[in-house]
Amino acid sequence: MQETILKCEDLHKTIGKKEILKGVSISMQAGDILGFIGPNGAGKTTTIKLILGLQSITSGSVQINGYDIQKNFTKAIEKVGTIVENPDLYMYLTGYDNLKLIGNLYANVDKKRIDEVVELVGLKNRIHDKVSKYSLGMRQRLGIAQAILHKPNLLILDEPTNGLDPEGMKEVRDLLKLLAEKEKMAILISSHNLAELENLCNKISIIKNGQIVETNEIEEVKAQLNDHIYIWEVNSIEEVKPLLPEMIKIDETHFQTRIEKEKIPEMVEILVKHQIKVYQIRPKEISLEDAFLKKTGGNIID
Amino acid sequence: MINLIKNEIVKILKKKSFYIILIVTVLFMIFYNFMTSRTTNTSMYTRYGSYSTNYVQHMRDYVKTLNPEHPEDVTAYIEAKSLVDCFDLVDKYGGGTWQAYIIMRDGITYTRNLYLYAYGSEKNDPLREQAQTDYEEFVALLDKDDWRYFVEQEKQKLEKEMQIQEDLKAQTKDSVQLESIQAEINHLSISKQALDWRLEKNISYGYDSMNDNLNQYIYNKAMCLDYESKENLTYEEKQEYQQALKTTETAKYRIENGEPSEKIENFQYGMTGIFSNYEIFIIIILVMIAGTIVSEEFNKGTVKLLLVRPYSRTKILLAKWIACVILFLFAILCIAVAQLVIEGILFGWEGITQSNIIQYDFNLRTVVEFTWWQYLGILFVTKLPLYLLVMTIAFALSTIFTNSAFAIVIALLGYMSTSIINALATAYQIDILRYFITMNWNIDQYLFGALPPFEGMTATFSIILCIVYFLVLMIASILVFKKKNIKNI
Repeated sequence: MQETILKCEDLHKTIGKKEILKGVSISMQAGDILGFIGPNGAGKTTTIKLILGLQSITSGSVQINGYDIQKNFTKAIEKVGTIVENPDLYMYLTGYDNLKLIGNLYANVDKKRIDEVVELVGLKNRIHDKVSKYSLGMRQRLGIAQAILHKPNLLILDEPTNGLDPEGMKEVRDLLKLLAEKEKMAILISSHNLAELENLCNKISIIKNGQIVETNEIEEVKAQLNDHIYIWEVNSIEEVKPLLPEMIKIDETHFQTRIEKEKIPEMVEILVKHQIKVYQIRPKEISLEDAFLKKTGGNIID
Repeated sequence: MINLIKNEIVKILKKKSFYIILIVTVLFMIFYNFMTSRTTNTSMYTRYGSYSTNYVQHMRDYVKTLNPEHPEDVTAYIEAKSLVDCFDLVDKYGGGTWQAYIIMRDGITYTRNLYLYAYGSEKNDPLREQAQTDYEEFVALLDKDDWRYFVEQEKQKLEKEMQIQEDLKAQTKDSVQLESIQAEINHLSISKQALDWRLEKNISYGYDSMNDNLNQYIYNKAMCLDYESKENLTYEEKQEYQQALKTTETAKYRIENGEPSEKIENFQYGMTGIFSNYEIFIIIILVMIAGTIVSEEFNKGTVKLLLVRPYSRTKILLAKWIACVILFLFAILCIAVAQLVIEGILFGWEGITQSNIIQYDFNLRTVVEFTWWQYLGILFVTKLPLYLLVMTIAFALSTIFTNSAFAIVIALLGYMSTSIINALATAYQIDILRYFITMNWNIDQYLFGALPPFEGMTATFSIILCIVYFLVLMIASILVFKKKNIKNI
């Protein structure tokens, strides 16, 4: 049993008469990289702000490293690093000054640690420039640098790859993977960029209209959604049609079926008997995007 | 906590706007000191007493257009010519000399007689000749360069007058009349005292500050005696009495102990005047820092990364407030040092160690003497409630409404309307305003036992009220800041 780093139980948040969160529960162990996905307005950022104590909790509880965020804020927040929304740093200061200001607030950060982190996020050449001269990608890197500066064991990142080019995204992904492995951090990433989470997370939580609709290992989510759909490649699709009435045509040489695995040899036999050349049969891979759309039923904000 | 405060100070010190306003302040200070040092050097217009140089020139031109033989011009000629003769005499001895003073005071009686008996309706040769000898005697006395003679003469006249009053007093039984006679005697003895001082302290006639002191003493001491003889003074009269007493006593102290040189006086006036002369700059610096320190973090989104640190929100807010206070002290120090340097260059450094600031203490009933830094320290302490409260108002508004412009404008408005509100309150005696902060945050109104605008207000009352206002503002800001939700953008 690994130690639980983050435990949210039945979080509710009401602003005015509108219920924004309707019982969100999240649990994270060391080494977890949890993708927190959901359509815009589902409550991702609100959940994160509740976890960080930036907004008051209507009901429910958040425990970080065993400390309650409402009752023992300073202890709970001590080993948390975060970027909320945008990496809003002091624009008129240099990147280095920004890190120094944050480092001052923690006992375990010295000059060496700052240099180490700067090196790690690849900002070494530009760290003494003013943040106002940085590109968005560089600000994201600086944001990650300030988040990991004090060696937290829980990293909460709100859309950390926002505004990065594909190369930058890959770098950040690799960096986060490295941090999760090396420093045994638990990382919570919210994003609507599903493709990147697919390669990064080992768990996902899907939130919709203020409720978690699914939390699972990423492979299992995919497997669940894989409803025995197979794609066939043949020489001519016209002749297949009378033989397999339930098939769905994809193009002139491809079609898909929804049948039990055990029935595949049977079908192949029929096709071969009718002189149809079967080149390939493969199960249809479902992307996280499909899974996401299926679970959330599209992007509806209410 | 110390690290939090350090961080807040660093954040402000790295801002350009902080330095720009400091530089603007210093530039203004240089300009201001330069201008005041110039105006004190050009005291030309006392050359002919209360007459301006332009008027003197005009009279000289005018006299040339008049003909004393012409009946219509005669009166005007006598007046103008006798005056112009005085001006000519002043020019003979030079402006600012004791002779100039005496001429402007007495000269006209001699010169007018000259022309009155020569041209006027009472043409009279023997009298004209008499007037001529009188005039020559007068000029001879001036030439002798013995101002003491004039003092003695004045004194003799006074003593005679006093003797008459004393005789009157001995004869009168009526108490009301006695009172007025006694008052007259008192006034005469004040003038005599002034003349004695002239002789004793070697104060020749003139227009210098020592003569000012003598005149102030004569005028205000008489006022004091009037108030002292009255019973049941109203509060307003009490305040006026206090003012007169203060002027009398400080003038007396100056006469008895001597005046500092003009340079030293300028130096000390400038140093102790930094709070009054540059107050608006101090307030602007204060309000600019305090009005943005919280709201800017909210507006720029940086507050999120500040609030997820292992410090309670109360500590974060207090650290910001303390940072404001430290930066305010730093700004004051900058202004004081800049003033010292500017004045040292303009007026020299002699005044730096001299204790020549005098104040009349109503409680001790004596004049107390300070060095400039002691007095500056006293002023600073009494000004502190005003500065801290204006700062806290800006700070609280900045925290509660997270709107920098609003916080700055309201705090400045509060400061600027102080004089208007206070003037209205005292003019119409709006009693409820004694609990209003603008009436109370200037603790210097109580300095040395002075009477405040409202009867019954005391320094303790004001200080307690200031503390109450301060606590209300601080507690409100802390409560709001603790509960504040960081909204989604």
